[in-house]
Amino acid sequence: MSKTVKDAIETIPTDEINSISLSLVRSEILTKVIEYCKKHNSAQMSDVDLMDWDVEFANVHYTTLFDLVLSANYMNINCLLDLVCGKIADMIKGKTPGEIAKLFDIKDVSTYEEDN
Amino acid sequence: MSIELLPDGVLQFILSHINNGRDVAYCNCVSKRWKNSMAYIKSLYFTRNAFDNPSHNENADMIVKRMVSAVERLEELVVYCPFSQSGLASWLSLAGPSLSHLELRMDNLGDNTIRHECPSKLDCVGAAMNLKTLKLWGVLIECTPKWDVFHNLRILEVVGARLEDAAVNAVIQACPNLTRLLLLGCEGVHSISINLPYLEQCKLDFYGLGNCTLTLISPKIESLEVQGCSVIKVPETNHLKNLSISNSGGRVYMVDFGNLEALEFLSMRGIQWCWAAICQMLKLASDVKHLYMKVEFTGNYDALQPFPEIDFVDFFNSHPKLRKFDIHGAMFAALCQKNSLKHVDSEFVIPCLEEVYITVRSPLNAEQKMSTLESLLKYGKNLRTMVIKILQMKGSHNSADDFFDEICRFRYMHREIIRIE
Repeated sequence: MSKTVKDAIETIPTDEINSISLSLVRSEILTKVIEYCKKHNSAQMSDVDLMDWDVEFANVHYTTLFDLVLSANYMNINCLLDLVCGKIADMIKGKTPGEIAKLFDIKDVSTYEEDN
Repeated sequence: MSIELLPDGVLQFILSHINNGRDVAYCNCVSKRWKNSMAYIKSLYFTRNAFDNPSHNENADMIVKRMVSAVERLEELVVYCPFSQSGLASWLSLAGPSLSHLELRMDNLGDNTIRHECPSKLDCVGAAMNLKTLKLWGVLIECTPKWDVFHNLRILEVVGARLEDAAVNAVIQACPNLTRLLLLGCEGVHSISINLPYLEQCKLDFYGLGNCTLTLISPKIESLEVQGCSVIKVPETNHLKNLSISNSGGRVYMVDFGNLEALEFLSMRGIQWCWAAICQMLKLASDVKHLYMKVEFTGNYDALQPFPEIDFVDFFNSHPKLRKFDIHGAMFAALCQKNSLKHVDSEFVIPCLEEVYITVRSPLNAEQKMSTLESLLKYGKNLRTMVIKILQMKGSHNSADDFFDEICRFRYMHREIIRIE
């Protein structure tokens, strides 16, 4: 599921692989990523159940979501990236600029004169 | 972990999920970095009430234009709020070439002054020459629009329109590669001719007197729904799987189809169909699996006639693959005529029938109707469900009650299969 891992496996000769370096991914996040990959690889759940599971999985604090985004990006796992980015976007929708800045603790809010 | 530490590409990807005009405007205000990232969104949509409370001097046209111009490569534009022809022209001069999906609430059916403006809103749409999907709501197609050919257009949907024959025929000709065509809630059509070699799905719904003529030449057609035509000619139908013909305004007079061997679903509905047309459809659709019949009357002229008898045995023998059968009111009564069940061969069986839905409206010929219901059960070896819907009964109080009792008794005897609604 991870293109990064797949590429690593394909380029390094098999008898030399002991570990694949994923230096940018913290262990707690990697645990969650592995949980996601395992769930999506097993054929056990129906599509509807899997979607419900995804919603639950992404129901975490936004800082965890950002970590997941970075990991999914680094490990090149497209479906996880879509899920998490979609969730972050959902958190942004319907909010005014002030509310968005407050939610994500963004400091340098500009004062553009935009409409609506 | 702050959102500001995410790399630009990731932020752009997250923000590319934001498409509602209002949300886009708000995201533009969060920070300069966010504003720059919004340049990479692919789609923009504006709801009906997007500009209901304008707080600045700009109008909808200008705001949409400003947002469209800020996007590098807009692929989808959906505008449900009111706009003017010049606004549309300005947006499409910027984003026209990159757009693959355009959906517009044209809203030009009411206002007379707008009706004759030149160029029209419809003319302006021609600037999006690479469109794959075009959906128009509330549009006037009375003059041939000044379009070149839309070579990439695969899907055209028009909902709520006033049409003139020459103009709508020209519109269709300008989209030679369509695979899906929808013309719903359209008035003003008399004669429409569709010649589209790649068309697979077609749904036409014409208001008015129900006397339109349709000619459709599309050898790949798989699904066709037509409402409001009295003459229908579709010569090449080798791939047609779903066919639905109805006419709530007028009479279905003539149907001329090619071979219907692939047909799985046939629906015939309407106030009045000529008997020859009904027989023709039933004869062609010999391999049909699901049949829906709800026509009130027959007759070749204005006078509404009751149906002649439909022979029960012949009917089921000529449709041996029938799995699901919906039959209503007058047509069910026609299947119940006296002589239908007189000469039943001992070998007779209805092999594939699994579900039957019947609507009964009148207690007339109650005995024959019960006999038909019993025969369906007797000869339908695989019948799993029979649903009998009883509508407002006409006729005397007593006969209606008696009939209802009969049906209830029948249901009680075959509880696992029969249900009453």
